[in-house]
Amino acid sequence: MALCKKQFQDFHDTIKLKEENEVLSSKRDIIVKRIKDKLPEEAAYSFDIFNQGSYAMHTGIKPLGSDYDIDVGLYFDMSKDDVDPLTAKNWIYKALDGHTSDVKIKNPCVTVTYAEGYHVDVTVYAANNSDGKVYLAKGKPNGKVEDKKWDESNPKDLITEIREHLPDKDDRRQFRRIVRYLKRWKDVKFSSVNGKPTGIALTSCVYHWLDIQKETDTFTGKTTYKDLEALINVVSKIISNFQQEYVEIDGEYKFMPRLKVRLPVEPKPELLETMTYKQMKTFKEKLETLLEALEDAKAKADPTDAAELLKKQFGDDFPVPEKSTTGKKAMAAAVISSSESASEKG
Amino acid sequence: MNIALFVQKKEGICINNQKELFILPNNRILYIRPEAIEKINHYRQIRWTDTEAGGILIGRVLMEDGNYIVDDVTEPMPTDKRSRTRFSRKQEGHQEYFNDVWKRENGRCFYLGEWHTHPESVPVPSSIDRKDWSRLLNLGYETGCLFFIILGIDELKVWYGTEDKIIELKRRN
Ligand SMILES: [Zn+2]
Repeated sequence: MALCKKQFQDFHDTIKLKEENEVLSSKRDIIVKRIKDKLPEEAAYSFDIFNQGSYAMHTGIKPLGSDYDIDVGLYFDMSKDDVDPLTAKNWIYKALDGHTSDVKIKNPCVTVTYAEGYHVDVTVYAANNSDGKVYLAKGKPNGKVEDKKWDESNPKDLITEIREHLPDKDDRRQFRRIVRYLKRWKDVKFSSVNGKPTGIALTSCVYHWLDIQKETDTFTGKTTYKDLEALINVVSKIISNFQQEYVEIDGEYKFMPRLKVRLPVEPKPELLETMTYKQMKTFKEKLETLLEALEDAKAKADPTDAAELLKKQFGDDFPVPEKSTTGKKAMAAAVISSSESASEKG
Repeated sequence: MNIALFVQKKEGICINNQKELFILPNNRILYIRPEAIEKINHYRQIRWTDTEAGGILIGRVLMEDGNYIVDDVTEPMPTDKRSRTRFSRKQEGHQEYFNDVWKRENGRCFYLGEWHTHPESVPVPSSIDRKDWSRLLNLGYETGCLFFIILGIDELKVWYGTEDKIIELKRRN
């Protein structure tokens, strides 16, 4: 019964990343300028800059604490056949080394971390290839040889695919809200960095499995979007997509659950393959707890009771309304009459 | 000791099953909060000497779906007249109680109806009850409808009244 429409609305307003973090976007501009100025001479290719990441996909949320990040993609006008991926990443590393005390080559990017805790990820692409595809430079200096490679990746397609998912603009808004709720749930419920599903993996789950939940009043023609129902819908579907796999865990064979979800654009990589079976099991258990709470909340008649359950899942930014604020305002205080009652048969 | 344990257990089950959710003909819901139920339950006419009791229902009409929630009730006031089979509620005390709630909740509360007790297992409204309910409905309260709770010895029942009729409500599920 409870919809908690107003509470979900306010929660969404609170967690939505409405604009890029101002400090970080200025840092990005400084970093891009520095790359342009200091790029080594052997990097004789021009490049375009674009902003990738969830902000560009319109699914960004504010991080808990100061864990802001910003993603910059560099599209180099070169072929993957002409340059080694790690060499290309080294150009960027050399240009940025010393900018802060913490500049690192990570597997998918070069990361500049600031003392305040936030960071900028710079990603390098080879964008002029004979097959017309775009490739991402992967690998780090001391990493495995097989990880040093050009990987087909189409971040611009991904951004377009996610940003323009669903033709109806209000349906699309519900899709984005559900993504944001689940991303915040993830940040609240997974404390360690390891073993948590990525934001893009959750986004892809919602992309593939959400059935939009809305209701149109036959009299007024007014459409109401039911986000609580939509969450129940998508979380049940995610849970039912787990498959049991028979694997060896700690020297013992047993069935363990595993979820697979693919990126919506080519080459559609599987996004959860780095999670271990134990992490998968925890992930599934957390989803089941979430589903139970969502269904309990729905069964509550009083939105305040429902919101208290939801707050335990989505964290302190989920508002619990004072009981009185959920009620309509009376025009005047009622004049109480006297009243006669009896149980004797009159 | 075993008996005490049994009684305690049975009570626990009762409270869990006693979801005070009622469904209206227009598919709206009436929910009576446990705090309100608890107050009413004190007046169950279990002993021979227990007299009828009653009061008014105070609560919300939800903005999000128009459902009704009884948050609070008044209890018998000193000027009310109570006997084994009659309850005569005066305005005194009940109006003041309502006004206090109304002020505290910034006007986000309504008079939702009446409750009283019966010394019978399953309550049946008397002709006096029905006559008074119709009279109250004719006074034209803001919600356009009123609820009437009768607590019997074993059962609590709710009637729902609008201008043209009064029907008994069914529990949800
Ligand atoms: Zn009666």
